[in-house]
Amino acid sequence: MSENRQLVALGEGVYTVPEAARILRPNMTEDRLRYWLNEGLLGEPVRRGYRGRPHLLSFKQLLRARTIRDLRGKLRFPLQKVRPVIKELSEAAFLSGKEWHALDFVWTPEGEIGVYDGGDYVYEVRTGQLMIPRALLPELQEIAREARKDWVRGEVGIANHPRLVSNARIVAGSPTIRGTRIETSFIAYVVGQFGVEETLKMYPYLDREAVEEAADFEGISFTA
Amino acid sequence: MDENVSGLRLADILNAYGEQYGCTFVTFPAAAHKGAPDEDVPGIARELGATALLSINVTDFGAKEQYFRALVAAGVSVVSLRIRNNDTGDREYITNTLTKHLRKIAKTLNSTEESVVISVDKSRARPASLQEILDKEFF
Repeated sequence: MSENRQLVALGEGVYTVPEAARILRPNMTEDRLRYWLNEGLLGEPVRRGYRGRPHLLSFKQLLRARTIRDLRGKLRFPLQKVRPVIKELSEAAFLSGKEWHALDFVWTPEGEIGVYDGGDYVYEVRTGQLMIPRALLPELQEIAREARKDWVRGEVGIANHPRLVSNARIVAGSPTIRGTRIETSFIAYVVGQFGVEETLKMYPYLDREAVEEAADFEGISFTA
Repeated sequence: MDENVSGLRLADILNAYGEQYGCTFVTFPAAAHKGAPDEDVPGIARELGATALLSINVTDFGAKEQYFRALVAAGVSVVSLRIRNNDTGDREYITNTLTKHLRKIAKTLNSTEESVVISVDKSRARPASLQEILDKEFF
């Protein structure tokens, strides 16, 4: 019960599993996120769900889930086989107290993947029997770079919806129209009630594309 | 009214009704504070002389309740109207629900020194202090 009493400070993102899965679409489902959470790949949630109360994830866990998804995609091995490597890679990339901008994936003399923090050795990933092609290294570095960039700005974009973002500092990370505090869920509700044209009159500073993206993201049908 | 609600143009209707309870509804200054971070919301509320933030919530309330807790902890009361799936949810429903409970909302906000959350739905307006929110499963 004590988990329920935790308080998130203003400016910290917090996500339910369905919300995180929607933000990380495509190639992310609620079931997958719950599985990773139960497997310990995402660390301890802000609140572990119970009796109808949802799990709550932090912004860091949202980024971590995206990083794991991308690492898994790049490594191209079944999760069961690659899980230990993903776990180690993601833990190395998300070491607490380390400066993310300095972290980098490298190829170690032993032929393994290592993670460095600007010169001091941090971690050598133990891949065991699993051979990771050296050619993947730039792609892994790109994944880490993206995670670092988004961590620093506290914001993730939403695939196929360039006008939408989840910014940890705006409405606690609820998906919003970029540059505003307007939630996609609310605009989709307004579109559902009044249609796109009326919505544009009510919110004259929003452009049509943003309104339509919000409705599409929330699964609300509309006529152009 | 938060930036979402401000667009619905409810201020005139709510102000006409709220006058008898000493309530004034002001819209979020979206132009001046476009995309303002959450940390700025308490300051913006103070600038406007607002006692509470009116928010309407339509989906996935689990994460939003944490945001409201944080606002209350930062000294801003929150009036949260929650539209559930089986509610009509149109503008008439929103104004009817708010005006129906406005007396209690105004009384609660006027009678307390500390910040509170008032959760509103069609059947009731339920206030809670930060301590009560933390101690109980309020939302």
